[in-house]
Amino acid sequence: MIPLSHYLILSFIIFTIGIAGVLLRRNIIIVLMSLELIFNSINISLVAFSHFLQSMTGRLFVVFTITVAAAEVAVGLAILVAVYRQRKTVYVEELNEMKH
Amino acid sequence: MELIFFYIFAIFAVSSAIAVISLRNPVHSAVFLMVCFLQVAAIFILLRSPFLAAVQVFVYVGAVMVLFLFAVMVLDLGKERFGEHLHHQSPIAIIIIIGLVFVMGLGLAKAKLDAPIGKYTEAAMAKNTEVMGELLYTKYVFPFEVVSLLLLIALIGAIVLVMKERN
Amino acid sequence: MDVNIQMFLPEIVVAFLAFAILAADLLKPRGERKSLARLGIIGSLVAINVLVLTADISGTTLSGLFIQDGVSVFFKILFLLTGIFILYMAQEYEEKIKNFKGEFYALILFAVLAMMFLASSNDFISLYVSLEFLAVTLYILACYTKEESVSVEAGLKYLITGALASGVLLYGITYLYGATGSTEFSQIKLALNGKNFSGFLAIGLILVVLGLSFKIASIPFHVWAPDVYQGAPTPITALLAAGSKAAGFVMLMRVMFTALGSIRPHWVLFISVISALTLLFGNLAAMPQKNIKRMLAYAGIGSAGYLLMGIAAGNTLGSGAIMFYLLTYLFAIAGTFLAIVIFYNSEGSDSIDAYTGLSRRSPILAATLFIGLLSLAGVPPLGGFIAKLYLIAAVVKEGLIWLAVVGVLMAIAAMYYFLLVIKRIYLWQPKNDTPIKVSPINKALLYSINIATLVLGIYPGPFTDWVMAIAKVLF
Repeated sequence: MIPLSHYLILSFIIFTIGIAGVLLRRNIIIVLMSLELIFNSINISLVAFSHFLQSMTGRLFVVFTITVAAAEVAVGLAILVAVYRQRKTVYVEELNEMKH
Repeated sequence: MELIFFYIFAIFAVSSAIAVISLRNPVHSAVFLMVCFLQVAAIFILLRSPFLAAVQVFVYVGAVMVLFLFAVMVLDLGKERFGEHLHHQSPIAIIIIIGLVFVMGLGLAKAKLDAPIGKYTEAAMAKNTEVMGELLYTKYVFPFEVVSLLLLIALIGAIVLVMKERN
Repeated sequence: MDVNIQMFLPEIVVAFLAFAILAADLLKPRGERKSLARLGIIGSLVAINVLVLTADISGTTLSGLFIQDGVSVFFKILFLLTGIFILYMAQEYEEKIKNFKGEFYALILFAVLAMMFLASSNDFISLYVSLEFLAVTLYILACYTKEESVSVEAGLKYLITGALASGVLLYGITYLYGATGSTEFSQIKLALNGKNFSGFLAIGLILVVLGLSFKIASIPFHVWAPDVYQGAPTPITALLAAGSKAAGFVMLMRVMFTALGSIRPHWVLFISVISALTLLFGNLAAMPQKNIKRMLAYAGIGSAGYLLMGIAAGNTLGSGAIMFYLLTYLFAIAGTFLAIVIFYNSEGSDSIDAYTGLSRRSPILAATLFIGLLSLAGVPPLGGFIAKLYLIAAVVKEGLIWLAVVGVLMAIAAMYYFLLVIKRIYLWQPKNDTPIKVSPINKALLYSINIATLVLGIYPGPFTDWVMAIAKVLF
């Protein structure tokens, strides 16, 4: 039997890596991948809680978060393509037309 | 025995996640992201959720991954210029991350599972997929309908945003 | 499973309306689509009627995941009114949208539908999926004028911040679930009774509040607001300002009061500090702005700070004041943004410089901005003043005097920067004094919005009685 804390710590490590990717990387595709890492880490802790609490709610929640994440990444990449057509760049720092 | 498997999956998951955010070539990142997704699916099996593991493989590895690779290929990004792949504001980001680790560590250290335990014991979970299907179409029908609308919106949005102008 | 269809009849009407617009768009030949916006407006009025007729049926349905009570009815009326204003603004703005005009109106209605779902969410799962439904719709709408690079840039920034915030929120929900064993608000409330404040609960509380701060544009997830308000099409900016913020607050009220109300001593300081920081940041950063939409973005951050005062107060007075504030805010935003759209159509500019001497060119636009901006600033006798007064009274009643002092000081700061704009409109000489044409329908609408703002300020009694009465159901 693996204790709950192992799953939670694993989930937290991947979550932190995802946050670091979002905050540190300039390439928006990598930023979107890091967001997927965040959602995956959350799914781990949801299923872990669900398993240890012996309830189904968390597992059902994961079905919804997977769907939402897929929809979000589809829209995100569509917006990215639209941005690329306008600006020919995918770097966060080069998107600053509105500073003033 | 399970613990050994857990450590194998966890080590692979963490190291591939680190690879995703540190590699310069987006294609390599995408491949490591796929490795990470597969490890997460394996962890779902350790948590007695075979249905979620299958969904994870289908949706993430099958659909999301293809979308990412497709975007990388279409945009033809190639490697990032050497030495320029970090933000200028990285000190702030590092402070945020340290703060997060501190708060979460403090919380987790004091935590203990004391919520009421539900009725789905390991024996009842033998029919995991059936139970999930039933709940999805009865108790959780409201969010189910909402996500179906959400998927429709994502479809419309992708068409609206990407389709070239008609004359 | 229990299904009481009367409780979600208005949602069904709005959903059918959105699909009808999508279908009608396919049947029509190419060209303008203003008739679809009118169809949407008429349909929304029907939905308001249905809502009022079924308002006395309250309770939960769909296995307790959907709730209909006074608060959800109030917010649904607010969202449908917002939808009507936005659809009207959007058809004024239609020339700027090159393609997919019909889908634009349908997506606005889907956003309204998502906000209505949020107002009725009684469970973290339905809250999360409704929130994401709203968010994805708004990401698409924010970059709808995709030929303009500022619009797509706004959409991308909105999406990245939004997805990050939704990740943080979801992580928080996970821990609340771990601490209480349920995602339903009423079950969480039961589970928290007589329970120690555990580590899981603390993590969940902090992350949920941080995640929800995105929708209301408060610190720390406020960074998207200036760029997105400036870059998005103007009707969508108004939707973000009036609708999305109200949707954020109905969620926050249900989560903080209904689900987590019993542990208020643990979160009151946290919310108060966020509120004070948001007030300071929003109002001080608004001062040097040169673009009117960007200035309103910072002012909107400031408003989120005020509304958070009502959450920090955590009493009936505070939550009633939040609802009254959002009502006055809706009319102020609707008037101001309709004036901005009409001005933009004529002049092609959103910079505050271009508004110089507007009173000599179009008295009605100038008067609308005068009333709208002063109501946002909270100048008596307009609606915004009464709302701010109630919020400050609510925090004073709970002994948070320092927060009330920050609120009063920042109201003065808000008056300062809004009065600078008004001085420019009324006292300065215009560069060219060609009059700006305003169509009779627009004039009538602007007049009625201004009168509504005045009525809410001079005779607020019936409205405040109403919101104070319905605020009780939250506790």
